[in-house]
Amino acid sequence: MAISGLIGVLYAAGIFLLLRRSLIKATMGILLLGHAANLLILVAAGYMPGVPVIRPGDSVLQEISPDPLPQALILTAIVIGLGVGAFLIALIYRTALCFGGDDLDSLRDEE
Amino acid sequence: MPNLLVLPLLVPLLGAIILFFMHGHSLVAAVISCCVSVLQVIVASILLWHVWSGVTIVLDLAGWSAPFGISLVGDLFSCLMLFAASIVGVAVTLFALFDAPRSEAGALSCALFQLMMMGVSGAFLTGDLFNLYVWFEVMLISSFVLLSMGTSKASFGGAFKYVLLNLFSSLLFLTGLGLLYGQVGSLNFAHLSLRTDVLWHTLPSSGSAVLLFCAFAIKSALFPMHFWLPASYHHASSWLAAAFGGLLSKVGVYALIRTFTLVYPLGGSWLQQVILYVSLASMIIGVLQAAAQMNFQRVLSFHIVSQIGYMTLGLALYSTGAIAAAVFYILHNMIAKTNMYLLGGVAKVVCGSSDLGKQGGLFASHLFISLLFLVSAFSLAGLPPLSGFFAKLLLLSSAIEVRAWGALVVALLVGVGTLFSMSKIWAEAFWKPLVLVDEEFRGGGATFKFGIAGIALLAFVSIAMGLGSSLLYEACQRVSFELLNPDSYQKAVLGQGVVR
Repeated sequence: MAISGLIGVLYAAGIFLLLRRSLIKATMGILLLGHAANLLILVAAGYMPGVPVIRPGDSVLQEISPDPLPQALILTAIVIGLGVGAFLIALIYRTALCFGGDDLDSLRDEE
Repeated sequence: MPNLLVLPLLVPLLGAIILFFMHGHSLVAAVISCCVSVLQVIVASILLWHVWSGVTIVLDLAGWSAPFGISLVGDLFSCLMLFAASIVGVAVTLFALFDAPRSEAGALSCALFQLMMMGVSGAFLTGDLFNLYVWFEVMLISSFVLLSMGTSKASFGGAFKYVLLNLFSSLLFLTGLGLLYGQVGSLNFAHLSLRTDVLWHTLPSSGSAVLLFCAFAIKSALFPMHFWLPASYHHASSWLAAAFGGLLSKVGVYALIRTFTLVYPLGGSWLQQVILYVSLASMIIGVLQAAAQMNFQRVLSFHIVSQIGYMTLGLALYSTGAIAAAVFYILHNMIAKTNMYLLGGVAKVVCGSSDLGKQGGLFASHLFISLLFLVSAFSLAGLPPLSGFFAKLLLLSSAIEVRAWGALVVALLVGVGTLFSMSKIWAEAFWKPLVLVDEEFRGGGATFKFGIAGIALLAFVSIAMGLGSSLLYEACQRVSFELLNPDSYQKAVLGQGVVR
């Protein structure tokens, strides 16, 4: 149950940060939301605390064992999140170089 | 023959790899990009020809059989969308050949565009929800980089809004996937369509339906999640804006239609009402916001929101005729919308600015382009015998069939609003005389003809779709029947026996 609470806190923190004006905070929000979504996949589908997928000494998957597929899904999602986070940071760096500062409100169309 | 399904993914990937080595040679890169796109059209038409006779091509990747592994599925819907997307790709790369010497990073843009086409093709061909997420990410990350190549302050702001909102939608998608997998234990479309006992009936799976709808609605730019689109698309260079406007939001609509006919059949559920109201709101708000804009590309961006509303209206009405009309509308819109963006690019080059107030005189100076504009504008507004007329007619007649009178009235009024925006663009950019500040902005030159080739190709396809609409509608009806009665899809993917 603690981990469900943690997922909730991560989602809340991520969405809160996403709504901030500073771009660095928005990026942190995206990263936290990524962590939260990955943990959610783990908890929602086959969460057995302390039980490995294949126990040491076994040659065959036991009857009751955690599902390895969500772990594969999470790995993919982590890697995609990594790439996206790296891109966001590079974009913020370029924005800061060209215009100084990372205030999202200052980068708008002059209507 | 199943291995044919990998070709639409391989061709753009190899093209992108070759193009990455062409850094610094923009013209050569643009030519290679064109050739790759033409090859993609050939591959897509071979696939379409195979599938037209009623076969669904299934490839179980790495030999793992269906619900345990990931399958690529080419049924008529996927292949039609793939074919339309590849035609859009050819037209856009032809235009890039004209635009290329003027843009900042020619070869890299072409390479990333081909990667984006790979993501789009993968999204159309996949038979697995998580694989759909991965292809969405491929497409999105390429578009992120392409969109952030601008230099003005506002273009950076637009890029950030695009990136952050689309990443949020990807995370909503992932959340929905996690909950769905926990309930059902599989993410294969065909397998999910069999589990009607669980889906809709437990709280986590209904929650997953809403999360998936929100994720795809953000990607398709439905109201009220559409604000990223008009903030970012008009800052991209014209050929990129055309590719985004023609392809990316339509992939979101494709995902909506696939999910809410196969996985969560919409008939009679509360989500159907939600999608109906969201579609009507998108149509109205999109066209009203478009009427207030004075920038050529921004009018078109708001228009996309309104047109997406039409497509999801077809989904929400949820009858065979309505979904067929929605598919027809998607195909027509991919062609016509891309054409309008390319014409906006021509207007920008010839008149020197995207502001409608500063443009003018295009009818006097470029007669052929004005006629091509009329073809696309009439197609979008819905005049016969162009494709847009049949798309709107089919949608409205299916609304009459299910007695959705409110939807009918809204669709007709929004059609008038669309015509208003098109007339405004015509009056400002084409009809009124041009007051030039600098004489040097008059367009022309050797590669100008190629750019017109792209626009003329799309206009030709638009007319052909209109004149051949009965053939296309027959195909769309078959698509709709296959979507609403997924037995043939399930049998093709899962084989004769059903596991679990």
